[in-house]
Amino acid sequence: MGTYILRRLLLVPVTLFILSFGTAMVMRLTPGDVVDYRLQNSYTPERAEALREQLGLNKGPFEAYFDWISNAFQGDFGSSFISATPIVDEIKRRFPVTIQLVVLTVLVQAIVAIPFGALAAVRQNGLSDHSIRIISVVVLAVPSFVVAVFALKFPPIWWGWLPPLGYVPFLDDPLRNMQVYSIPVAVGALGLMATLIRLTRTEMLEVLRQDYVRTARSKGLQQMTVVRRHALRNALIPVVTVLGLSFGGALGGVVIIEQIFSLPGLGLYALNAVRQEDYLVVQTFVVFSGFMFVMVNLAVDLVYAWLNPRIRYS
Amino acid sequence: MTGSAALATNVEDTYALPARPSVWHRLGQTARSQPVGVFGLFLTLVVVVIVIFGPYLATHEPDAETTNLLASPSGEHWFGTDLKGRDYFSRTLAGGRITVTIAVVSLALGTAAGTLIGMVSAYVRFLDLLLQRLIDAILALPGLFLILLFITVFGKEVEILIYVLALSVTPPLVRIARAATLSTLTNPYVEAAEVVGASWLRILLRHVLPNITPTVGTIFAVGVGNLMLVTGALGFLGLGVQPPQSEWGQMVADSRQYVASASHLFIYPAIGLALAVLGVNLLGDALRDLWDPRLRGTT
Repeated sequence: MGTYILRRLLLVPVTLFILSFGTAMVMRLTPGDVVDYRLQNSYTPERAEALREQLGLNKGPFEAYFDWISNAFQGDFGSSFISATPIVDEIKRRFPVTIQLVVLTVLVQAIVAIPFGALAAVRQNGLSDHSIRIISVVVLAVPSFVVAVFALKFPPIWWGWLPPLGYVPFLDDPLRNMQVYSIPVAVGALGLMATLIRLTRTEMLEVLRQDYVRTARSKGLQQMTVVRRHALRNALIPVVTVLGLSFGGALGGVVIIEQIFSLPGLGLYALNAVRQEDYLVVQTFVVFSGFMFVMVNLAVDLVYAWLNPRIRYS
Repeated sequence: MTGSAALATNVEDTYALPARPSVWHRLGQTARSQPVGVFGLFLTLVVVVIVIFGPYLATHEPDAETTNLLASPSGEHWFGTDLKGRDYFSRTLAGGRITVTIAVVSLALGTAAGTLIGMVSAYVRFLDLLLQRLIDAILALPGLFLILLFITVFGKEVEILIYVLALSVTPPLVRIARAATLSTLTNPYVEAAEVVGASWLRILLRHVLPNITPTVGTIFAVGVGNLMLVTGALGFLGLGVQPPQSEWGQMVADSRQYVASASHLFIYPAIGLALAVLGVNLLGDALRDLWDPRLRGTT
């Protein structure tokens, strides 16, 4: 097990290097840079050259990448070309916004999806099974941006109620913070829920056919006890894995939700940086989210091995 | 002479397999076992008709501007008109056409590329190590972000959009095709083919490809809907199809300001996208059950 973890950890720098180098080259070797964005209407070749000089953009792509990575080892990932704020500070500031969104979304998704999935499996081919399956298929087909626009625009028209907007840190005003998050989280969770409901249902159906479930039933345990203690626990092992992976994916996949609900998180930061060719920000974001993703995946694998001792990694 | 011939026919009659049911009979049986899939097929066919015959079904020129702004649906304009007085029915048809085309073409490209790379990666060991590290790295990026990055760098033309989306679906497909190839390569017939001196190309194309086609086909069938959602999301973020060409996601984004006064601008593209995705998803689920029974009911 120890060697397995070590080997996975040794691959992390390789992954991060490929990611950051690839991003740097893709952004630098193509026409257009942040200078075009900064100058816009006042653009003259001389001004552009001066600004490039000032920002250190006149270096070759390889030289610039080497400088960046050697500073990065000392914790300095450079500054934004637009706002001149250090990127690390900005990420520190925005990380809580995004992580709260992601954690809440994944939690809500699990809390709603697992009971419904289990219910559908226990009542296989019954009315609740069919309705849950139909609803989840329909929900899966509706784009989350449509749901988001709907949730944002229709309540004011119908009930004159405006969903609260404007991010407030949780520690400043917990109630207001939860209000602001409620709709984005609901929208995000809805989009992911359908897959999880279907997965839970499939796994439950599988487990409910096992001998130990029959044994539990035949020794006279109540249905609820059998389902909760014997079936669900085992069915949840793969579900937890998928949930963990969706956590890693959601970390950067919140771009749309953050954009629509104007939450000042990492997704929005990266989206704007990409638009403005602010390439150091993009590079750093890529390394950061790649690192998070790899670590979360490793954690998921370890949790999986812990939940299911039959799994042996080598 | 005649006796033995009579005997032969008799034996054939006795031991003949039951007559193979006609194609239509089997199709009918499949349809009965997959009623939901048939509904999905129906929706998908509607989408296909829109894609192929959209321009003939349109009642107006989709980009033609008039002074009749934000009109509600009427006999003249079935879905009303938009902010520039353009016929919304025709724009919805044209929008769906481009959304679906982009999704299908890019997924087809990405699937083909992923399958090829996956097969080669499984077969050529030294390439495998390199390719898999590269794919590790790409998969560590949030999918949508990878797409955003490439679109900003390479531009927002429709062809580029297709290549970028294809690129974004390739890495997971490489993984799947590689795993399927590795398990196929353990079969004795592959070894036999190697022994008789078949080239690696022949082994991959004749022995491996037919075996991994169901797996890859399933991923394709189940993925079309998701790719339509991604295409729509890009249009919504303003990074997909650019105006004046309409696209469902972009139409939803543009409708946001007028939801109160002209909700038809929101409703038609939103429902169009949802129904199209629902149709291909239901059809995809049914096809997966047919092609790959082991996966029945998953995801």
